[in-house]
Amino acid sequence: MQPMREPFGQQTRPSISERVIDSLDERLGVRSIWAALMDRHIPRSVNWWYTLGSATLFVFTLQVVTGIFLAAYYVPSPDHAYDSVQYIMNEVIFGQVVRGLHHWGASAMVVLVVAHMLRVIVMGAYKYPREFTWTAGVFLLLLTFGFGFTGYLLPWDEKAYWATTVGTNMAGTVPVVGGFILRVLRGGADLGAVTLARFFAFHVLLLPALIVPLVGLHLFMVVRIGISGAPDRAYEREQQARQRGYSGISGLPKRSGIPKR
Amino acid sequence: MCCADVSGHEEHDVSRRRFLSYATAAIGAFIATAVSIPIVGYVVSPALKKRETPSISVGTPNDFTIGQPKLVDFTLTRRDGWVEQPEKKSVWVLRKTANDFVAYNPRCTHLGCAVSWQAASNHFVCPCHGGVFTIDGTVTAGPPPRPLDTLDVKTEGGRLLVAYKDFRLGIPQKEEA
Ligand code: HEM
Ligand code: FES
Repeated sequence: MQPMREPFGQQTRPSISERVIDSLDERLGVRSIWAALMDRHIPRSVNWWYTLGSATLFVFTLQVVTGIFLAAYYVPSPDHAYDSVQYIMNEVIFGQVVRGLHHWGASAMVVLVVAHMLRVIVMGAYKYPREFTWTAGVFLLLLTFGFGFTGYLLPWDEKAYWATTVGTNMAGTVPVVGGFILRVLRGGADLGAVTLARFFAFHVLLLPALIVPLVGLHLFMVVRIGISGAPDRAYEREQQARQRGYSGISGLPKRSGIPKR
Repeated sequence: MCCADVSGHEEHDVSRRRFLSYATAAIGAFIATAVSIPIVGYVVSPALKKRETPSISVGTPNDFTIGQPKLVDFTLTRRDGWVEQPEKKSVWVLRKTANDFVAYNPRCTHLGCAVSWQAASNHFVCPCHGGVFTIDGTVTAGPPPRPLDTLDVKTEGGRLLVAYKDFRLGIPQKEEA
C-alpha cells in the first residue's frame, strides 16, 4: 500500500529505493515474501545452539565463492595441478587468503554441519512434523563429506595422493562389490589422471548441482514449518503450546512440533 | 522494517528490532567487503606482472656485414602462469658501422606481424597491411603509427647482447608492453 502523502505543503517524495520496492511489490508482492521469510514467529526458547545451521550456511556460501575463484587458476591435470596450486599460493595476490579460506572453510563446514545435527538430535527437533527436514539434512551431511573427500585430492601433493589411496582402498574392502567400487572411484585400477579429473568434476560440478537445490529445500522446510522450540520438561506448558499451535502458518495442521515425551 | 509497528510490542522492542536489523546489515556489508577486496586483487593480480627483459646473445660482431640487416632467431623460456614454455623469438640486427649496432624488434608497430628485410628495395616490409620502413626504422608507407622499435645492444666479452622487449602496438608512443 502506498503511504499517505502530505495533503499540502512540501510533499516528501519517496526515495528511489522505496519507489523501486513499491513497484516490485505492486507486481510481485515482494513485501509479503520478505515478511514470510524474515518476520517469522520464533519460539521464545531459542538460544545460541540454533545459530549452527546459519553458521553452516554462511561457511557454505564462502566455500562457493572461494571455490569459484580457486577454479580460475586451478588445473585438474597431474602435470599441472600441483604447480597451479603453488602458483595460487606464491604468486597470486591474496591467493593464500582465498585458498586458506577454502581450506579452513572445508573443515569448518564439516564441524558445523555435525554440530548442527547434534543440536537437532539433542533437542529432538527431528520429530514430527520435521522428519523431511531431517532427511534432507542427512543427504546434506553426505554431500558435505563428498566435497571433503573429492576436494582433498585436488592439490595433488603427497598428502592428497596417499589420503585418496587410503580412502579408495577403504571402499575396496566392501564384500563382493568392493573391487568394482574401487575401480569406479579411481576410474581404473590405479589412482591417476582419470581419478583427478573425475574428482574435480564431482567436486565443482556434480556435488554443487546436488547440494544447492537440497539446501534450498532444507531451508524452505525450515521456514514453512517454523523453528521448533526447545524441549520443555513442564508438561502443562507443552500442552498449552500444542493447543495454541502455530498461529503464524495457515493451512498446516495445528501442531506445535514440540517433541513428545 | 515494514511490520515494526504492527507487532504490538512495546516501544523499546521496536527500536531493538531496528537496531538489530541495522547491525545485521552492517556486519553483512563488512563481511562482503572483507571478502570482495581480496578477491578483486586475486583476479587482477596476473595483470600486474611485468615481463622480464632477457639478455640475448646474438653472436660476435663479425657475424654481421655492415649495412645488411640479419634476422637472428632464439628461444626464450617464458613463464606462463605455472607452465614454463619455450617460445621462438627473433630480432633484426644491423651493423651500421664497424662498432655501431642497432637491433629491431621484428614486430610491426601497427598490429604485430613480423616484418622482413627486402634487399632489392632496401626496406623492411610488413606482409599484413603494407607497412614499409627504411633501414633505420622510419615509416615510409602504410598504417604503422611509429618507427620500428629499437632494442638496446651492448658488447660483452666479444659477444653482442640484445635486451629483448616487446612494446605496445598500434599507438604512436613506444611503451613497454
Ligand atoms: C560449491 C562450490 C565449490 C567449488 C567450486 C570448489 C572448488 C574447489 C577447487 C577448484 C579446489 C582446488 C584448489 C585447492 O586445492 O586449493 C578445491 C579444494 C578443496 N575443496 Fe572445494 N569447492 C566447493 C565447495 C566445497 C565444500 C562445500 C567443501 C566442504 C567440505 C570443499 C572442500 C574442499 C577441500 C577439502 C579442498 C582441498 C583444500 C586444500 O587442501 O587446498 N569444497 N575446491
Ligand atoms: S601489422 Fe604491419 S602493417 Fe598492419
